[in-house]
Amino acid sequence: MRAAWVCALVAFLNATCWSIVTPPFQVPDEPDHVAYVQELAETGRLPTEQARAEFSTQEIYALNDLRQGLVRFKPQFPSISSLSEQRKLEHDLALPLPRGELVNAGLAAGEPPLYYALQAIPYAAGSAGNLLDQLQLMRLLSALLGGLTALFIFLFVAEALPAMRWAAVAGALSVAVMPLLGFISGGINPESMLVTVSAALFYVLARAFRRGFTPRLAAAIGLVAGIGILTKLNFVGLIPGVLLGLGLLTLRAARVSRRQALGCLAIALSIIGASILLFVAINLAAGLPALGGVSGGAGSSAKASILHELSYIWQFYLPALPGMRHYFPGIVTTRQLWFNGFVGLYGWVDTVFPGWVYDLALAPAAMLAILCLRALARSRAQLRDRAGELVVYTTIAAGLMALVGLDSYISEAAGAGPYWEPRYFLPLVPLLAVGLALAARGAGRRWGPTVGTSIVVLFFAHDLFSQLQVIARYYG
Amino acid sequence: MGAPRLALGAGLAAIAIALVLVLSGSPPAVTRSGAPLVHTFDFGRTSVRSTICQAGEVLPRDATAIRVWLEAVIGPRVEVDALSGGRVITRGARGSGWTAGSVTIPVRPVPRTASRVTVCVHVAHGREAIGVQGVRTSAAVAAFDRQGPMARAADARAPTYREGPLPGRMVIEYLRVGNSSWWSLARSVARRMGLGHAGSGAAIPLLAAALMIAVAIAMSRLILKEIA
Repeated sequence: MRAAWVCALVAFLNATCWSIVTPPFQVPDEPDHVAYVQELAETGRLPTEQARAEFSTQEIYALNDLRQGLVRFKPQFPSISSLSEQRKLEHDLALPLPRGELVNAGLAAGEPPLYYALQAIPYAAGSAGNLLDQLQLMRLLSALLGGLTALFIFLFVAEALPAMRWAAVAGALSVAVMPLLGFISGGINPESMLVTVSAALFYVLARAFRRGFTPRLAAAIGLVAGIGILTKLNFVGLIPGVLLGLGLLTLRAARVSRRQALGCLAIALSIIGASILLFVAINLAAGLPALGGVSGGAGSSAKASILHELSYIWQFYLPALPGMRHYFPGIVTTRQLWFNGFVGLYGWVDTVFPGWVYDLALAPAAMLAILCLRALARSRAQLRDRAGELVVYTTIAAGLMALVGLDSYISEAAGAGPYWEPRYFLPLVPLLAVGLALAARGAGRRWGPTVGTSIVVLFFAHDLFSQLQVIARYYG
Repeated sequence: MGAPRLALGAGLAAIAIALVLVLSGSPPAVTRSGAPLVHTFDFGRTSVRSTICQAGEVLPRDATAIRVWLEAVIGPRVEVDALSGGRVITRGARGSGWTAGSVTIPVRPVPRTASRVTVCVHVAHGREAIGVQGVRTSAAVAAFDRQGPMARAADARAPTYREGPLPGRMVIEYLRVGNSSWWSLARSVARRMGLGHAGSGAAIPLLAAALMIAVAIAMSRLILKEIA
């Protein structure tokens, strides 16, 4: 357990570093999320789509003084760099500007309120300072969630691969210093909490598959899923996998006691159902659509052709098949969007490495994939025994990928850009940790620990140079 | 000493060496020719393959890349040619998949500064309309779209260009290896890091360095205890 806490500490320190290196409001959608927290903390209301203003007057002053609109998306513009700009910022933030106005919080509107309610605590704690002090405290809460994420990932990998503890350490520690996780956990974005919830979900599911479906674990699965529903709409993508997992666990447990199995299922489903009802009640009380942002998405999707949607989602991740209409002409999405995005894409998707870094990264990625496949091939018999559990994890991954692809399709159909940021897949990072642990094991008993150590050091180097790239982009 | 300990030591040493090498390098120096950059304007969006040429540019000696202020979510392939006296003096290309408000295209450096250069930017047909940013000028010195009348303007929000001058000059910048190393710029970078944050001054870069050292120590100790 001590190793798990050290992984948590490493992830927390790393995310804290990202939180001070990244300029305020230069994490994607951070202004919208800050607006949501401010509205909730100052007025007790949820942002409403009817409001004309996106942000409070105070936040608008901060954004303007930080040149946020000029800097984001445009790597040619650094962050503010003169003392006169700093003085103006400090002067404006000290003004008694309105901050409890009716706002719509932009993209954050329609998201469930749990993450924002938690963020209202550091926001209130920092009320003696200015908005930037409050923002930094809120970022620290996200960093704490990043630490919790690493803790649950360690526990998940140790539960999923119990035979070799050192491999679990290698997998979890690598992910703890993963730059994309540090970047998102160092900003204000409900994704940071969604990743924590997802890691906890993988852990409780793995524990239930390994140790049996008990009432306590059923409650834990229900509770974690319920928290996920109240955290971010993207959790909807994980629900099919959760339901499948509950179904398979119930079938297995029913071989011993049908009554107890059904009792466990009822516990989990009733907690999930209660959280959905709570979400609906909160939305209705706030005068929003019953299912918040889900309502709009479902309506838009219903109007589209399912074949077009499937074709788009396929090409969102993989090369087009013969006969498919090309949605991404001239682009290899697997490589250019997803692989390159995971290697390095920070800020408002405007901070990247030089092109050769992405080519170079193919070599270690290929080696890790080969080692992972080797470990899987060696464990064929165990894999067969755990086929149900693997199908559940695959369904969770497929559900999230389908949801993000569908969101992107709907967004493009409405004339907006695609949703293609790799951060949307951070909830699947526990599976990456297992893959890395397997890669270390794939090197064999003799070389495994050496390869495991090398993987961690490689991820640490990646993290360090990613932060330097961010520093060069904003302050160079 | 076990192999994992060696791997850890060698890995951290390699990171330290790479860090020294990277910081000994120079950030790119940026030069811009043409109209002064007072206010930029969004000239609109080009939604089909286009070639935009801009005369009167000055291509600095040793420029390793040309940065053009085009905007895309998933950008198409972009090529640039720099012509002097009708002859291509350098060229470069950037594959598709770039994003944000500018695209940097690596080019072969030229041995001496060339004036009266025409830079032509070829934007491949992509999946979205590409934004063009520039500064307003008279038609006589404006960039010129050579693509000719565009038959399709399906998206009303995406005005397309006809053959002829743009509303002004595109912003084109030239990147070359700077003269100052990151080491020599460290104080200035550290000062800037202290601006626009909670707290201020030298504390932020020092705190960032301390945090990453703490990460390295905690990580190494766990590796030595649990893996090595």
